[in-house]
Amino acid sequence: MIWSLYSPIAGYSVNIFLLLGLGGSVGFFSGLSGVGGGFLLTPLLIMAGIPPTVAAATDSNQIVASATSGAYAHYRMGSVDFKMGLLIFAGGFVGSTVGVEIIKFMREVGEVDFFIEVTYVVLLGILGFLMMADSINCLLKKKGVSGSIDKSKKRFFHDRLFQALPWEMRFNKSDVTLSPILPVFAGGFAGMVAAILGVGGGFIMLPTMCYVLRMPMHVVVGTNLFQEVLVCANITAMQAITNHTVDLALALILLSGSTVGAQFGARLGHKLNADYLKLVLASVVLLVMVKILVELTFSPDLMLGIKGGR
Amino acid sequence: MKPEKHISKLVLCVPAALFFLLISIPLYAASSKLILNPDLVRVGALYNGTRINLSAEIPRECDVIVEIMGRDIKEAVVQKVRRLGLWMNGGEIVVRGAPTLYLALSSEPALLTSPSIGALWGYEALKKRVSFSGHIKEVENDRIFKEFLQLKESLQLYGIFPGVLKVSSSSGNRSTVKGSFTLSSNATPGSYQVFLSVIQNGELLFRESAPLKVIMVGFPELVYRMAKSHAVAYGFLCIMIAALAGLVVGLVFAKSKPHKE
Repeated sequence: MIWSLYSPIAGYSVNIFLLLGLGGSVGFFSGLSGVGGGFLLTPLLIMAGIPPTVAAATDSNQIVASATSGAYAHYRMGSVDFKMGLLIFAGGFVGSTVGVEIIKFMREVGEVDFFIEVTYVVLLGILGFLMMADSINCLLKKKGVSGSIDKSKKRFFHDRLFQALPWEMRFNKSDVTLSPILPVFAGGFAGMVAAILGVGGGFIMLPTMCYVLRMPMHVVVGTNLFQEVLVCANITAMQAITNHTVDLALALILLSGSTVGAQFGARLGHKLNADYLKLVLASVVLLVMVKILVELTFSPDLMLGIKGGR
Repeated sequence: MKPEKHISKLVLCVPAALFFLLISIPLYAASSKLILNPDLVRVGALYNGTRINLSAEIPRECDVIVEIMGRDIKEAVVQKVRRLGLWMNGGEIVVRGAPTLYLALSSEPALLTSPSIGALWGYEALKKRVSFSGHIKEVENDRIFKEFLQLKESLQLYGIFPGVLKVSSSSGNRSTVKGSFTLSSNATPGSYQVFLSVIQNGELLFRESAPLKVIMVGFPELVYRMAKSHAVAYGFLCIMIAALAGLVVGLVFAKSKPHKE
């Protein structure tokens, strides 16, 4: 069978069309709905037989490509807050380094596969239900403004708490004044999760930027993509140096599928109802979550596993 | 030189030659040239396992067992345990004496399936070599061995194939044995040995081996070597390639689609 790609790091052959299809469809969904595809691609790679550690590390590498592509487009539109992005990355650098070390430790104790899978069940479960609830809510309202996030300017207790933090800084691009502790802390948490799961961390940073950092919507996506490039580049370097789990051969096929798929998805997204698309994506996310959960709940076919993954 | 001397030399040489001839006939009968095609497997970018053909000449009315084996390693495996309703990894078991690869093929199915004869080859023979230690009780050895085989079979690294070798009569008192086996892409690059055991009336007549080498070539070899030996440079190369690819795609699509402010 010549249409297989041999992954030298995983020591395993995978069908090239399957990889292109996975990368392309996740990129397509990503471009269609506007959410990052990392959280979906890693579990799909695991299902295709790629060991979880290799899947997560390689996915981080391919996110560098897709996020660079997106960040460049936003940079041209002038919607990237570099100052904020660099502060988030400062936290993300520490967080992602800690995340890689957690993976190394879990690998040594032989629980890395279980750890990644359980974290995915929780993440995909929360994300899938929130997306589904949001899309159903929007479909029910119908008359509401689609695609925009209602950004309340109402001041809550946490707003007052955040304002009490020291060393306030002015972020002209985002038109906000806040303590750098907040973006550094949020970046640190997102970076840690990103390193463990092989995702960009956008699902944490986007709502954080909107609702905690109070950044305007037009700079949120571009700034998030900019920090994702830096954080995922750090994760790729750390995974390559510490765990030797980044597979360039695999990443090249995936990124060629996902970058092109994302562009087609983005073009089609303008023509279709965004709420129905979000509903479809939510269903896919929940299906993947259920599949992993079933595997964790029902008696496995094999009662022994190789310590530290294959 | 005297003619008597020639005669005495001839008298000595003829029996010596006859003696060596008599010795070499059974030696020839009890030998076989095991041929593997290919005997060097190149793992390239599009590699997905390979089919290896084997052939050998053996004495007539003999049966054959072929074993493909990797080197013995010490390996750690973990038992699946159920905690809080979820299956996770439990106690660690150290496996010693198990080869990285074990495939057994036979001409006569019973050689690998019959419990009495099969104890000399196949999984029953393997069981005698393999030992377990760690989170395991003595009484659990049989169960763990069975589960270990299932794990290895799922990775296509172990397998028993009774009766797949075909023996056909050849010239004189020789037969030809032919067969093939699939080397999975999960078999790591390295050196393997292919053993041919010739059996007559349930007894081992002779055994010989041939090497089988698996090497990584081309792009996978470059990626693997860089990832393991030059991890820092490899990490930065991965980042640079991904960033450049993203930038190129961004530029291409930016040119084809005007941006809206």
